[in-house]
Amino acid sequence: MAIVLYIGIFVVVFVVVKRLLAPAAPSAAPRQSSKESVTVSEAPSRRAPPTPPIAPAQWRASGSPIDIGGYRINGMVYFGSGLRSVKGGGIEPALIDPALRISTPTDHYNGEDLSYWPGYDHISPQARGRYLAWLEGGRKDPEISVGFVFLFFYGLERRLLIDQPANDEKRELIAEIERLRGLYTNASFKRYSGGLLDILRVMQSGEGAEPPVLPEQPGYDSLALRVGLGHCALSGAPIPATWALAWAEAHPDYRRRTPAERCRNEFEQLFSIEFLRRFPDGCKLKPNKRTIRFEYLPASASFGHAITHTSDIPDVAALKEPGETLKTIAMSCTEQLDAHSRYLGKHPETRDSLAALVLLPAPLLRVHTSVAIAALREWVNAALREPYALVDATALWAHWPDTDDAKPGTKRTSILLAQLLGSLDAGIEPDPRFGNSAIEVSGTIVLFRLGEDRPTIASTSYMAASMLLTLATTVARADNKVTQDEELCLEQQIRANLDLSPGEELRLRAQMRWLLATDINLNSVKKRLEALPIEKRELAAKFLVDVANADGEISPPEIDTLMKIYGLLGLDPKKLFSAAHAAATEPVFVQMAGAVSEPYAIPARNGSVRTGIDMRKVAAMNSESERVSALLRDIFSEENVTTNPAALPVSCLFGLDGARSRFFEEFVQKSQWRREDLESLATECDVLLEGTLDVINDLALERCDDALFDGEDPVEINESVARELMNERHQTAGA
Amino acid sequence: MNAIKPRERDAVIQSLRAGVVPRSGQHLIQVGRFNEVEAILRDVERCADGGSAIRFVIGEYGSGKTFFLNLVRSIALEKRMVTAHADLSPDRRLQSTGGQARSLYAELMRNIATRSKPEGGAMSSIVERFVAEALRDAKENGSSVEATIHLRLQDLSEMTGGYDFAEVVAAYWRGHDTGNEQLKSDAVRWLRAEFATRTDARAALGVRTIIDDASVYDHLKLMARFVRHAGFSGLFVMLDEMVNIYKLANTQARNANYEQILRILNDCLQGSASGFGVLMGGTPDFLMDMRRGLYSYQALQSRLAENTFATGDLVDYTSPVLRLAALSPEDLYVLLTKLRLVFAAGDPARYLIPDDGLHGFMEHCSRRIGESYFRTPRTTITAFVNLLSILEQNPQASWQELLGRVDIHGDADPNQDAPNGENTPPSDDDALASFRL
Repeated sequence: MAIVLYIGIFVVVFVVVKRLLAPAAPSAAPRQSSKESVTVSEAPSRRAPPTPPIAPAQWRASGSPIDIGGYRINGMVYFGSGLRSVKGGGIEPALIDPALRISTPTDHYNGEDLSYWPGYDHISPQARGRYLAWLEGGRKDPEISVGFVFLFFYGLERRLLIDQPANDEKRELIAEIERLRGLYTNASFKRYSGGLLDILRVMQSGEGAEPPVLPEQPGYDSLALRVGLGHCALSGAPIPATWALAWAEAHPDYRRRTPAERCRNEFEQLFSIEFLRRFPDGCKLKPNKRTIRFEYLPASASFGHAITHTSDIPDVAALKEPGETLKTIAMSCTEQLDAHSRYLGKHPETRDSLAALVLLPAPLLRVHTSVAIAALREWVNAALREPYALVDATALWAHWPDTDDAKPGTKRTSILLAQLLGSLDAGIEPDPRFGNSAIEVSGTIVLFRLGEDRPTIASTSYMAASMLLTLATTVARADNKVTQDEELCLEQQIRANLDLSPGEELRLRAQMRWLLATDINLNSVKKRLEALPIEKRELAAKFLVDVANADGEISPPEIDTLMKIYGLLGLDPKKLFSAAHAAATEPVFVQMAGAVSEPYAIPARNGSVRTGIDMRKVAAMNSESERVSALLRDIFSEENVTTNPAALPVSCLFGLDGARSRFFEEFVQKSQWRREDLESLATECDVLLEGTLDVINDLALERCDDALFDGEDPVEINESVARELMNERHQTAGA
Repeated sequence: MNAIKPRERDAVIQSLRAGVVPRSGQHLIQVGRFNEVEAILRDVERCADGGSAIRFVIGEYGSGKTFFLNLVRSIALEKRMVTAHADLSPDRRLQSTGGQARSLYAELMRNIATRSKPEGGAMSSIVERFVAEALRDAKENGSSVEATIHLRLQDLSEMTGGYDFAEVVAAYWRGHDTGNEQLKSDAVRWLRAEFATRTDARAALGVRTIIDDASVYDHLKLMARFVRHAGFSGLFVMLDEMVNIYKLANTQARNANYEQILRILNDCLQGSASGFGVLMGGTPDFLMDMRRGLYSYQALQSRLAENTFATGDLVDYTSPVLRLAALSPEDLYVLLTKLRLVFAAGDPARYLIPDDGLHGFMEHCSRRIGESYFRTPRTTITAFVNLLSILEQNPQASWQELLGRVDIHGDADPNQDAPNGENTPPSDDDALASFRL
């Protein structure tokens, strides 16, 4: 190290003196930038004794061959003697001085001994030889130490920032930097060269507003992006969605998760949809006071300070709030793509099949242009010429690919299909999300056009209405003739008695058509009713009577229907009369107790007014209906399979239950898990994945004081902890 | 000396280089503040035992409030509590009518963390731990899972918004049971207050209410109770940058927020909340400004006023207000030794810089920026970590040579002039970023 310092000092001395004696050649002299924005501060130079002058140094452009020490190099370097470093007081490190000794490098020498800040003047003769050989070879030998690449880069840096050549040469030098960036992936080199390209871009952007080049990787605080956003704020233009996304991804807390990689197109598309939804009038930024001040610290020791560029462009990217908001949107988009991405992880070849597309979020599906979706959309539109259409399920399922984990006719797949149809503005009955059975592979189904209001889950009122409808239809069908009148009557009864949203009414009508058109499921309803304990059936019956009475009166046709339902429920019809009587003789509502007494008219008898339904009763019923909702689900959900999954002889580990123990055993077998494989394992073991992972990690933290795994996708297992846990387990098993 | 886990080492170094407080591994670089930590530890333990606690952590810009809050967060997680943290901002307040309170709640719930998922986003894990318990119960008793969920959450149903809360948890289960991913994610979105309208919530989940501005605090209490049902010991909420309330120009809006703070304070001090702790970080003006600070609200002033006997060297660590003193040069020296140890992964044989180097470094900083080098140590730490990084990557470079090149600027509150956050740009992959050659 000391030797290097001595050489350094000697060189400094040499140069300073040389400068005193003979002014540097005009072409090579560092020229102060004419632009005010670039400031270069001079460091004090040191005095030294005189030495004899040598030929002046100059920049040799590309294409002007130089012969030196038996090497022929093709320009793009400073060549000659006596070029001072930019800060003064030293030799330019990039300067190739023909006066210095060169020796042929040994065979496998690539410059391992280069210091952190190499300079042509103080590297060894052997290193000089190697450097010149690399230059001669077209600057592409991948084996070479990055120190040589830097040495060359120092020259480009100086030429671009200090000499400021003509635009053509600039472009050529920039292209050379880009080429080197492609060849040499050293992180340090990437950073410096990226920084240099950035500041060159900014210095230019004042003249002609070139569109910013977006950051190539997330997290990189790209100057181009900041400049672009600043220009947007100045001109009052809204930020384009692509820039907003780049901004979001540059947020320090943003983590790019698998879905955003694997489904990049979908992710970008979804982001722009959500972005537009969040900012319907475009996201406009107000210019702030802080302006973009860019510092580039040149890699070359020649400069000795940062190049700063102060622009008058506002630095809106420094604002915290918009960045946060955009990051949240991006994260939520990633989340929405989770299911689709996991499916693709399992079945990479199925990108365009319905089974994969169906897992896309609805806003994306609505605009998706894939062939499969277009075909289905066309089919639905053709079928739905009328508001309700009875169609054959086989024709619908024909659109669905038959894969292992999306078998047609299962409940799970039926839900997916119903969601898919929903995004095409069509509803389907039966729909398992509303307590119905799965969509069978054949048989009749009802399609209908969805309106503005489109619930995706059954509310309690809807459950009640649906139960009433099913029972009433069952009864109506009992005599095997359902007239149009009866249909209408049924519909009116239900509509009058329950507080349904418009979307629910649409669906209920569809359900009725389906119930009337098919008889598969009525028997199963009967069966399930019979299986219910008597008190539950009585609760259901009382509820139905209340519903019938909601309009203040139980009409004779209603009594008739109810009687039949009582029969169906296996209850004594006499109980119906007493229940109906009790309902009819309930006190009449006059006014709230304790309310300020105002003159009031004597209310009409219950039932004599048929202007509408009594909302108070409806409210009371709704709260009651919440109690029976669980019961309703018992009746209408598919046979509540109490899966006793895999009663495998697994011992319970660490207080985990059987299923989780099994999961744990499998989990620690691998060192890394893809998310989708973990999902499958969780399904196989019948556990909830997130909760189980939390419990297991907690357990490891408790016992081994360290987490068992890390990461989201892939999940990495900490093997030492896994071993420790397994040992402990064997010990307890042994004991 | 114990070895330091590589994961924690990297997390600490990376955060410090970016100039932000590390989210994990704080204990590795915690310095001094023994009494403060002990006081908070007692709070956390009390909450974990079903009690409640509230503290206002008051300190100057750069005195380490956020660091302290994160330290407490990791302590609370260690005590099997669930934590939620958020920074207040113009768009996130405790009380509002324009969605800012809901937005604060949403941020808290996005950051909700458990011990095994300390980085946040643990809402699904928490719900699933609860559902799994219910599932086991249901299997044992042969009852339906939904009924069991409702039964177990019965005490929630009595609280405001509790019934729908239970419904949504049940919906999560139904989604899982029927493979309906949409339903599952809607349930989580509801719990994270991401539904903006009742109509949407009803269509997606069949519930009539949403978590809105008016019900934010009620839902925090619900969540505190829920996490206990899910097998955790309680909920610890951390609110940073409380100065944003102080900055509200509208008196009415400001007072409405203080009223909400008063409500929380009363609940926590009177013990009517259980398993619930709150920590709020703010600057001295947020506390003491008689016109706009907490003291401007009479009821809060009387509750938060300093113990009149705690003068001079006497400090009352049981008061709801916890004042963070600035670090001393000695503290900073210890901190530098700890950083050196973190870099060496706990092995003194791998120190990158001798003790002389530490002294030299401190002297250099002191010359450059005066005493703020230890009072607001953010930039000092960043520079030191950068120095160590470069020494690590370049064994041939000597610290003496590098030291003179360390460029360091004083740290100023960016909120003073430009509306900039404390988040400096992310760390780059090369250490030279703040060095001058």
